[in-house]
Amino acid sequence: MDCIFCQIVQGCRPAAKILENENVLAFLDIAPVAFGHALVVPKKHYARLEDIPIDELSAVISVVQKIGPAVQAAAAAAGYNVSLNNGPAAGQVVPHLHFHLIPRRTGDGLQLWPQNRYDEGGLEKMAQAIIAALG
Amino acid sequence: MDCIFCKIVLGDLPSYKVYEDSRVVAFLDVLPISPGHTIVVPKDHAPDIESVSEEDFAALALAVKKIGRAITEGLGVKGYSVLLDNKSAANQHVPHLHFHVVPREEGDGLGRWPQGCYNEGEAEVILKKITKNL
Repeated sequence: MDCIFCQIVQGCRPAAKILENENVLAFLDIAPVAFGHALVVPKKHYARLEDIPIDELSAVISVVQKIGPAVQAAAAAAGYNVSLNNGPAAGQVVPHLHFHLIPRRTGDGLQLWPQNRYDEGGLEKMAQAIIAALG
Repeated sequence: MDCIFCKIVLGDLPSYKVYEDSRVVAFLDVLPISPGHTIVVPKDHAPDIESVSEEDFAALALAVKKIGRAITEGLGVKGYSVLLDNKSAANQHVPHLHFHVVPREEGDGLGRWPQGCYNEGEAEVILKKITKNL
């Protein structure tokens, strides 16, 4: 078993576990962006959002909602980001689906990604492309 | 009603809507991080994760999954990032809870936040504080 998150779920690799239930495990990221940075994973191995069944995704997001306020309070933060990188092109390093919860403080220096603009007509074309793909 | 996302949900403000179900609406961000950047919101106003209902939060995640697949297949991108900013300290600009789905490509220049490490004992301290608050 090469997946480090599966190893954590199985108890073969240590982790600071925050919450565990039948389908989900939450634990501290050992390389935190900010202290209290937590990870929430399905216990079963799914690489990407495309792979996880909807009932298990619901279970994962329920734990995100449950631990978010606790992570914020513990980190004495004023907010937090929830993020998931889907696929290596999106910066997903561990190929086991996971949500990050990152505590945030005003002025902590964490930079936003820059915003851009569409060319004329671009928004309409883009909306049509996504709607068509939704089927 | 001052909330711009509520106005979009009600159709009082125009938007490029790509998805709608009984609980969720999704529309293009007009100032996209990357082409196809989509905002996913609950129809019922909730400013943050603490106020949104469990059912709406689950519905949002399921919508994100559908929209992410459509973005990948429809736009031919290899991946996407899902982001939610909870409270203004986390850069939440519109106080109506929303997920961003941002199409991603290798080498797109969208960087990761720097990661640090815990010194001995620090992880245990924060873990205790988190579990105490659960």
